Amino acid sequence: MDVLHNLAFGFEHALTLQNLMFCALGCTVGTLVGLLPGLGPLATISLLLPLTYSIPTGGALIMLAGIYYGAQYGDSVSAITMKIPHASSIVACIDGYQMTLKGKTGLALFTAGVSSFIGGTVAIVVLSFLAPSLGEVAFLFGPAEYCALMLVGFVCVSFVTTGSLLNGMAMCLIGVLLGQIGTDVTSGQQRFTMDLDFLADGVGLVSIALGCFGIAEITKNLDNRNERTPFNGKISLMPTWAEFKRIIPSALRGSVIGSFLGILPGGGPVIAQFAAYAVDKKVSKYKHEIGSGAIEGVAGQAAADEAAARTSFIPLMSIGIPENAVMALMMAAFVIKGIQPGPNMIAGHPDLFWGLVASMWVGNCFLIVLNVPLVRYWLSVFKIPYNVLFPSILFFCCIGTFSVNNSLNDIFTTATFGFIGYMFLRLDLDAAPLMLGFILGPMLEENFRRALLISRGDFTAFLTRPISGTLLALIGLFIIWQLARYLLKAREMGARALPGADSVGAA
Amino acid sequence: MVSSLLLLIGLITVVRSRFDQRVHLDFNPKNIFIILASLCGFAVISAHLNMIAGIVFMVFCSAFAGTSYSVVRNLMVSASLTAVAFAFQKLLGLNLPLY
Repeated sequence: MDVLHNLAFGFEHALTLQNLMFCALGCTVGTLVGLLPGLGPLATISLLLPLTYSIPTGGALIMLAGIYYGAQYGDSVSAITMKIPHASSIVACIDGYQMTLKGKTGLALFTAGVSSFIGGTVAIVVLSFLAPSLGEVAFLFGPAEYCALMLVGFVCVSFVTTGSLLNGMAMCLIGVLLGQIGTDVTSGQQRFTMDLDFLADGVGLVSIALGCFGIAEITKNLDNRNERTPFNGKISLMPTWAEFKRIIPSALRGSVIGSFLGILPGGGPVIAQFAAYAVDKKVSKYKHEIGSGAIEGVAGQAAADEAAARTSFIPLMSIGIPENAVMALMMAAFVIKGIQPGPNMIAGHPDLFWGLVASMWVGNCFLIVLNVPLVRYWLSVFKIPYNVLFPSILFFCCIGTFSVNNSLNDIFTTATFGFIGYMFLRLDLDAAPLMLGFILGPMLEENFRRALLISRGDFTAFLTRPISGTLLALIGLFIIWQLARYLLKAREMGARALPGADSVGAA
Repeated sequence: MVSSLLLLIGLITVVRSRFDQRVHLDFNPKNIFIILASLCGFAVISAHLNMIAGIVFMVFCSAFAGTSYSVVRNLMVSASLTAVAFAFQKLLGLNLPLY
């Protein structure tokens, strides 16, 4: 009952005309930056951070939060319609774009919008009821646990990859190697930088995402002599009842996974989408369709993406630890306003905490309207002939890449990855596992080193700690299960081939 | 460790390819090189001249990869994108070297 009382108190603050306006503004700007390739919430929030000086505290935080979770709604749209993703919508490119190629863009967008709404709603419930205590879960995870969690992420590759497991693992390892480019955080040494200064900070995630997905896809469409984008601008949003029923279980699974991973430092929307996709690919009733344009392939990841974006506020507001770069900027906004996020924040500034939580409910309603019935107006840009559209997309890719570090050198990196991505596309290699390896690789290395430093070089530390040991045991079981399945299949096929061989011999 | 694993996967892939059927590689170098040239040209011109010239170069160069080429259309696209770039600079505060 306390929570309901606190929520009512929060709505008192969130539903003032001024805060409603900031919430609507944040959601609209968020959806817009989500739609535009390359312009993510990180760049936008960093650009708008100085504005917080002149806006009331509650309004500023509500607006910045709206931009963040609004962008998670909008980023699926460019991924689904044009295969141009943001970091947190890479997985939407797989099934979402396949649905577009099948002429089911409207259904894919409806699925993404509704799933994001479900994910957001579940995450807000988690945030409201568990925020004061749930942040402590993160304290249970040490370096060894994170290391094991990253390895679970790698195992997910076997589900994420749409073709051969070997190719998927190869792409994942290439991603890990790419993640090692730059300055080593432990020793300070530069690795694989080829004495190029701009590589000292590593390769940007945006450069790889835009190169491997955006540039490669544009070139492929140009090779096919497309007069228009594969998305023809016509959409039928309303699904049939059978299709709608398929969205719900997947979205709920994604919401739970996203809510959990959002709480863990280092988790967040990027990893949550892969995890939700992997789980759907394993447990969904329609798992055989995932990868070729299935509703579940869009629903789970969209819900996880949105849920993780919301619950990533928990570690920030409960224990004062920002779990990703956007949360670090949000923390900067809190600090600018003289508020120190942490265990005392909920008690010290209940109006801000509960006002922000309540504004997320309001924002969720704004966003479902912006992204489902009104999505066709956002999409009118894609009705433009492809000869006009593709230079514009290239422009947005350039601006998006440039705006991350204000460096034109990053455009060369994007171009390089554009060529590499094009070759991957032509060789039938999926770039999604590469992104997973690139994102998880540095975290894995860092936590692996920390765990060994803490245990003084004792590798058994990974097995003796309960959470890490359990996760590693699960990986072991999974590998044994996969091997057993492969051997059983091979035996079955051999048994089937034998009678055939006999009959051929007899003939 | 990662490199060794990658080498191992590479070796397995090479061995596996010996037993697989040959597949034709559909590779058209023209379009990808036009796109790369327009991106690199945009970066070089923006660095040494200004971004407006870079945008014009990118639009005119990348249009060679399209199905048709129209100078008027390219001029209109360049003008629109320049306007968008100005909007980004003035409204969003992006630090674009436009002039």
